[in-house]
Amino acid sequence: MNEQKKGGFFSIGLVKGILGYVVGMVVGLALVTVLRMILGLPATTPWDPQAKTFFFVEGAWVAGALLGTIFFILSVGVASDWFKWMRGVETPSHPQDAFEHGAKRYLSASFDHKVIGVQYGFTSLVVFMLAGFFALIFRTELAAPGMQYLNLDQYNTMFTLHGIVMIVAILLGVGAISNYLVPLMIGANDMAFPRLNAFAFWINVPAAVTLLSSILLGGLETGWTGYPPLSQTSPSLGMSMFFWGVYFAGMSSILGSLNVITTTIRMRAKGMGYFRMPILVWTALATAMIGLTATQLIGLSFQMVSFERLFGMTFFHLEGNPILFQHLFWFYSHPAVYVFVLVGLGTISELLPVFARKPLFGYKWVALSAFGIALVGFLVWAHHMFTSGMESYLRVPFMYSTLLVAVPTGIKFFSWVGTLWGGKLSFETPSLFVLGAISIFLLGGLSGPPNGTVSTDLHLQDTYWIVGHFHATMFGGFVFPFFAALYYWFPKVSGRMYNEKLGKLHFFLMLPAFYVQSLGQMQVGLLGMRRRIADYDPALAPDIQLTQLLITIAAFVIGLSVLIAVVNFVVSAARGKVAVANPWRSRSPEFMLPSPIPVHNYGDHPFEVIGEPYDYGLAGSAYVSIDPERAPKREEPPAVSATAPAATD
Amino acid sequence: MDEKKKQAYGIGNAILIVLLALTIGEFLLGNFADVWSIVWAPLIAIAVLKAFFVVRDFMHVRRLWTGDEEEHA
Amino acid sequence: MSSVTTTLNEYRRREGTNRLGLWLFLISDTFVFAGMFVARFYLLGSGTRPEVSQELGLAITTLLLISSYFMYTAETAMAFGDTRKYYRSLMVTIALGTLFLIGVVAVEWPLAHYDGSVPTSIFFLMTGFHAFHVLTGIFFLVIVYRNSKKGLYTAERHWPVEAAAVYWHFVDVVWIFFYPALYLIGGVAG
Repeated sequence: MNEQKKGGFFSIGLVKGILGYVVGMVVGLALVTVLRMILGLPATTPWDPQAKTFFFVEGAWVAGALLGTIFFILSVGVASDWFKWMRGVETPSHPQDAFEHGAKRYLSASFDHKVIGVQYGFTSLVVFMLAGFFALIFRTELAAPGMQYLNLDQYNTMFTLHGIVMIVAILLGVGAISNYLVPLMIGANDMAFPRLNAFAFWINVPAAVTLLSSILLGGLETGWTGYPPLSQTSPSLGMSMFFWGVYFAGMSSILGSLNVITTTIRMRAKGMGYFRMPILVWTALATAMIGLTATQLIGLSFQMVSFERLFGMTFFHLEGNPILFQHLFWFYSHPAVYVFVLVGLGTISELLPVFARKPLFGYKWVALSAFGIALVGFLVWAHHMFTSGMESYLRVPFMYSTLLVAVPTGIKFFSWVGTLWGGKLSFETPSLFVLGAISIFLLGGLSGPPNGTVSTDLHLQDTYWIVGHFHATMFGGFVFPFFAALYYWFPKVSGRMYNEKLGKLHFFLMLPAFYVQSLGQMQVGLLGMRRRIADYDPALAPDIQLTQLLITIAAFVIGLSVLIAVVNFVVSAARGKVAVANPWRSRSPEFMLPSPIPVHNYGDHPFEVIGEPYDYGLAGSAYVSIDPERAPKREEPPAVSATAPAATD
Repeated sequence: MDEKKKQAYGIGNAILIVLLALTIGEFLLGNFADVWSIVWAPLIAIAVLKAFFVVRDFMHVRRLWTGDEEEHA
Repeated sequence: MSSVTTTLNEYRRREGTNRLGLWLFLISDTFVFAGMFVARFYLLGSGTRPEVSQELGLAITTLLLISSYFMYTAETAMAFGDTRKYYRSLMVTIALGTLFLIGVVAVEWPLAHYDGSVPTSIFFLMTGFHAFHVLTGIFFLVIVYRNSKKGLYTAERHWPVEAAAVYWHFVDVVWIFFYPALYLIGGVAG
C-alpha cells in the first residue's frame, strides 16, 4: 500500500484496475486461442460485427472477461492483505491511515466503510444515469409509431441494458446506504470484514465493464431476464458478457450481505438490543439475508446457460427444460425486488419521524414486517410464470402467497400514516422525497394484486401495464427514498449543505413526470401495448400515440431532474454552506458526531443506548449517550479543506 | 485433560464408523434394492443423517452459539 | 495492532465474528449446490441417473469421508497441542483430498463420456463445481500447513486451522448429498 502515497495518475486504484483488466483480457484471449491452436481446434473467426463474430471465439472472450476481472482486483490492491495472510504475514486490523486522503481516496482502494459507502453511492449514480440514458434512447424511438432511428437489434440491446444496468445501479445504491449507515447506526467503528467490504465494492467495476462490453460484442436480445432458449441460441457474444457481468455483480451482493449480517449481529453498541436498532438496520439485515442466499441461484442459472453456450451442455433446450431456468432465475429475481425496495422503505420509516417530530408508529411491527416481507418474498417467485407453461397446479398457491405480501407491506403503510397523523411536518427536500415515495409506492402496491391474481394476470402478462407497475414500485421503493437519503445524509457525508432550491426543483420536476410516465405506461398496457417491442401495431396508434409521446417527454423531464440533482451534489460538496453537525435535529447516533465523520467513527468512545430510537417530541427522552467529555469538543465546524469529495478541483 | 482428549478422539472414531457403515448401506440399497421408484426416499434420509453427524460433530456447529466463552481444550 | 498483542479474550471475540462470517458463506454456498441438486431431479426425475462407475463412486466417497475424519483428528490434535499427530493427520487429509480429486477428474471424467446430453451435463456440472471446491479446500489446507510450520498457531489460537477444517467438512457434506443423487438414485437411461 505504501507506493500509493507517492501520487501520480498511475497510482490511482481505478486506473491501475482498468489497466489490469485490459492486461487480463489480453492474456485470456491469448490463452484460449493458443490452447485451441495446440489442440487443433478452430482458433479464430472472421471479424464481422454484422454476423456477430469478433475474431476470437466466444470461449476466448469469456476467459478474457474472467481473467480481466481477476487482474482488476489484483491490481486495485484490495486483495493484497489476503495474500500476506496466506504467507503468514500479519497486517494491522483497521489500517485506514495507510490510504489516500482527500478526494483521491474515493478513486482508490480503502477499507473505511464510509469511503466505501460513498464509492458505492457515486458509482450507483453514474450507473443510474447511464441506464437512464439507455432508456431515453429507446424511449425516443417509441415516441411515434414506425421505426425512427434504431434498428431492431439496437432497440433490443438498449432496453435489455436499461433493465440490467438499472438493477446493478439499484444494488449499488442499496450497498451505499447499508455500508455507510449500518456501522454508524449500531455504534461500530467499521464493518466486520473491511477487506471483504472493499472487495465487494471493487468487483462491481469489472462487472460493469464486462456487462457494458456486450454493446460492442453483438448486443443483447433477450431482455434483462436472459431466458433460454433465446439466450442460448443467440449468436451474439454479448450474451456471454451479460451472464458473467451479472454473475460478478451478484458476487458483490453476496459478500456485501455477508458483511452486513455479521456486522449487525456481532458489533452492536452496548444496550442496543435487536428491538432498539434503527428501522433502517432492520431492513438492511432483512435485505442482506435475501442477498446472501437467493443471489446464488441467479448466478447458477446464468452459469448454466453460459456452459450450454460454451461447452454444449444441455439443461434448458432440446430434452432439457426451459421452465427450470425460470424457476432458478425467479427464485432470486423475485426476492431481489425486496432487496431493491426494503432499504428504501426503511429509509422512509427512518426519516418520517424526524420530519413529523413524532415517535414512529408501531416500531416492533415495522421492524418485523421487514422480515415478514423477506420471508414471504421467498415463496412467491412463480407468479412471474403464470403464463410460462409450468405445472398449472402451482398457480393458485403462488397466487395466495403473492397476495400475502400485502400484509407486511400494509403494516408499513399503517405505520407511516400513523406517524404522519397529527405530526408537525416540515417540508425540506428529504421530507418531500419521503412523502413522494409513499404516494408512489402506494400506486406500485395497488397495481400489484391484478398481476398477482392468475385470472387477471393472464391478460396483463407482458403488457406495458407490468412495466408501469414495476416502475412505480422501483421509484417508490428505491429511487425516491434513495434521493431522500442522499439529501438527508449529504451534510453528514460532505460536511456541507446542498442547495435547497435546486433540491426542491428536482422533486417538483420528478414527481409529476414520474406519474405521467407510470400511469401512461399502465394505460397503454391496458389498451394492448406489449412490452419489449420496438414498434407497435398501427391499429393501436390512434389510442396510444399521444400517451407514448407524453411518456417520452416525461422520461426526459426525469432525466433532467436527475441531472439537476447531480449538479447540486457536486457543486455543493465543493462550495456549499458548511453544515452544522445535526441539521435535522435527529436522534440517530451518527448525527452526534461532527460532519464529516472522523475516520474511526466513535473511536475509543462508543456510545451506549439508553432509550427508544424514535421518541421524537417526548420531553427528556434520549436514544444514545455519547461520552460527554468528547461530544462537545468535537462539535466544532469541520475544517474547510477537510474531505469533501470534489473539494480539490 | 487427558480424559477430554481421549473423548474427543473417540468421537472422531465413532463418527467415522457410523459414516462408513451408512455409506455401505447406501451403496447396497442403491445397487441391489430393485425398486427405482421409491429407493430415493431412504437414500436421501441416509444422506441427511450423515450430514447431520458431520455438521454436529466434525464442524462443531454449536460453537456458533457458545464460541465466545468456550475454550477448545 | 497485530493479533500477537491481543488478549485471548479479544482473539475469541474476533474468532467468533470470523466463524459467523464463514458459516454465512457456507449457507450461501449451500444454495448453489441445492440449486444443482434440485435441477438434477427436475430434469432427470428419480428414475434416471448418469452412467457412472459404481465401484469408483464408492471408493472416492469413502476416501472423502476418511479425509474428513483425519481433518477432525488434526484439528483436535491442534487444540490439545498434539503437534506430531496434527501434522501427520493434516498430511493424510491433503493426500486423501488429492486422491479424491484425481479419482473424479482424471479417472471418472474420461470414463463418463461427455456427450452434451442432459445426464452427462448434470454429472459434469455437479462434479465440476464440487471438484472446484475440493481444489480450493486443498489450497486452503496447504496454506494452513505451511503457516503451522512457521509456528503461527497454538492450542489457544488456531482459527485458520478451524476455518480450513470447517470448510473441508462442508465440501464433504456436499458430496454426501451428491453421491446418492449422481450414483445411486434411479437407473441408467436406456
